[in-house]
Amino acid sequence: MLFITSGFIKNKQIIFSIMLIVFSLKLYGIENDVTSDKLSNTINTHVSKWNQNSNTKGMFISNNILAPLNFYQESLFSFTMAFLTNMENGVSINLGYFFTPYISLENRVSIGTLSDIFFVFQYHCGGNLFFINLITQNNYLKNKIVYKRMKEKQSIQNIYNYFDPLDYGLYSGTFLKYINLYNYKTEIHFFHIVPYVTFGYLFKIGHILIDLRMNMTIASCSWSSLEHTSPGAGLYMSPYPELFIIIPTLNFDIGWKL
Amino acid sequence: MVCNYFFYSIVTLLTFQRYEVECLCKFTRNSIIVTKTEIGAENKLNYKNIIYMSFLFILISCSNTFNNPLIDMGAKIKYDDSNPDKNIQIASVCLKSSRDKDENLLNIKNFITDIMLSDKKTRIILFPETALGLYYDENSPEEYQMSVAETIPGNATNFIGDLAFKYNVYICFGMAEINNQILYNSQVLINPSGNIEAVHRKNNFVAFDKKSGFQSVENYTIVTIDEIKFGLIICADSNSKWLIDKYSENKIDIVLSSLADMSLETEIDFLSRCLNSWVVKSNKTGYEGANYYEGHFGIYNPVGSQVAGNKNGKEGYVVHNIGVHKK
Repeated sequence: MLFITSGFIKNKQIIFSIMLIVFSLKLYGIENDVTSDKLSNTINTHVSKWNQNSNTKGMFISNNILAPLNFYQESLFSFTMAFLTNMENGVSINLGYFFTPYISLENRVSIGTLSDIFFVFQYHCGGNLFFINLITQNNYLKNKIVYKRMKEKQSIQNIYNYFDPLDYGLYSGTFLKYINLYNYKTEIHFFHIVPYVTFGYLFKIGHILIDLRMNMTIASCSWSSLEHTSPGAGLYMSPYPELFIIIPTLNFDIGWKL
Repeated sequence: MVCNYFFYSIVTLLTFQRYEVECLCKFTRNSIIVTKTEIGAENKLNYKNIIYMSFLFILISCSNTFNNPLIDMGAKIKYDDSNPDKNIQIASVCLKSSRDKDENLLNIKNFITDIMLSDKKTRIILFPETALGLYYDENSPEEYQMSVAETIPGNATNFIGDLAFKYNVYICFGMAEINNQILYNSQVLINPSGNIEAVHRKNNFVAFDKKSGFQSVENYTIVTIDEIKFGLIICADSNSKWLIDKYSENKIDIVLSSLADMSLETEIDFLSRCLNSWVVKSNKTGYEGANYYEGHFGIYNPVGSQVAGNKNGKEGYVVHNIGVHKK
């Protein structure tokens, strides 16, 4: 293309300079590929060592700190607290385990009452996938990032630090929750099984975990202990379907990494 | 109250386009103050407005409009009432009220006539809260309620009593009652003989009731018709824990709920889930001054699913043959 257009340009020195730049860039790229391969090997060695002596594997315990405030039937609390607690209420405890640096399994239990009419038991079970750790464990993605960072002329130490395996960061997951809503005035149970997806960020400060999470419910299968009833199922994507059909909920957990 | 004023001040400060503000009106029970004249002419839906609207939604929550979603959550559960112990046919009416009491009485008469001519087996007809006039008059709330209030029995109850006798039907409706110069927000049940069967007075008030000069009375009203237990409820009474306790203890079968409800309709009725009984709701529709009523009304089974109803915002009625399984 450059040769074709050169016929139309009087100053051939400019063409020569451009060709020189293109050639230099190509050489730089080849050199970078070689360097990134070397670096990848170094990082792979580091990661495998880390995998052997990993402190990211293991149990964690956490608590939905706002859940005790979600106890009211109506008014300000019902609207905001249900939204900010992922509809969990009362005493809550979450137990989880990191199987690999990027996969965790979590169990959430909460028990509480609503306006002295309902007793609510909830059990959630699901897993999360941590994106950054997923990248650090994938050679293809890793090499791509190394190449990009070297092009940005970052120091080897910076890149090396970047691949220091993390047990926190952005994540996404899938959960299933079981809700037993017991009306102790009429002694009737309402049961729900609700699948939902999560998207969040986990901070780690020492052993302390701070988890900010957005939850999107998808559907619900509901049934009751009342006589003459049969189960029903349908899409359920909002705690306030009368307001908007799709409303995600949030939750804030504080925990401890064992 | 504070939140409502806060809400008012924000709305007046901002220049929302008309449809946005009307939307907001529908979400609140107490959004008194948003009037058409306060609505700006700006036609842009920009990010700033979206942020303001999100903020307003949180404020609106203060108006007791929303119930905890854990109660009315999930999918609709099916309820089989095909082989019940008792049957009763009930009509629920969605009504547009005007300031003029005579006009409202005529409207009520027309509905009763229509229902009884088309569904002669109807045993009870339910009308909304303060069906003889406006629920809230923003210009002179107390004076207005005094002007439409009547004693029980009085001219209005006699007029409707005659219709109840003529068509052999129970009629339940809300009205402003005056007794010894005290105003009550009441619900009257008139039997097929044309006599007063029961009077229920509103327990649990929202700001409009207080501004209108009504006095609250802690009372509950249970009536047995055709061996079926009925509980009477006026609108925000459904948020009264005391009243729900009383109706739970007495194991009522059907709730007759007269509403002037500006909140949005929920797919699942939380009152049904609290009491596990049938709930019949009658509501107002359209504008009453600045207040807009969604016009949702209907009949809900004991697991909260609607079996009959309408939410098109127009005047109308639904009739359903309720099958009651004895508790």
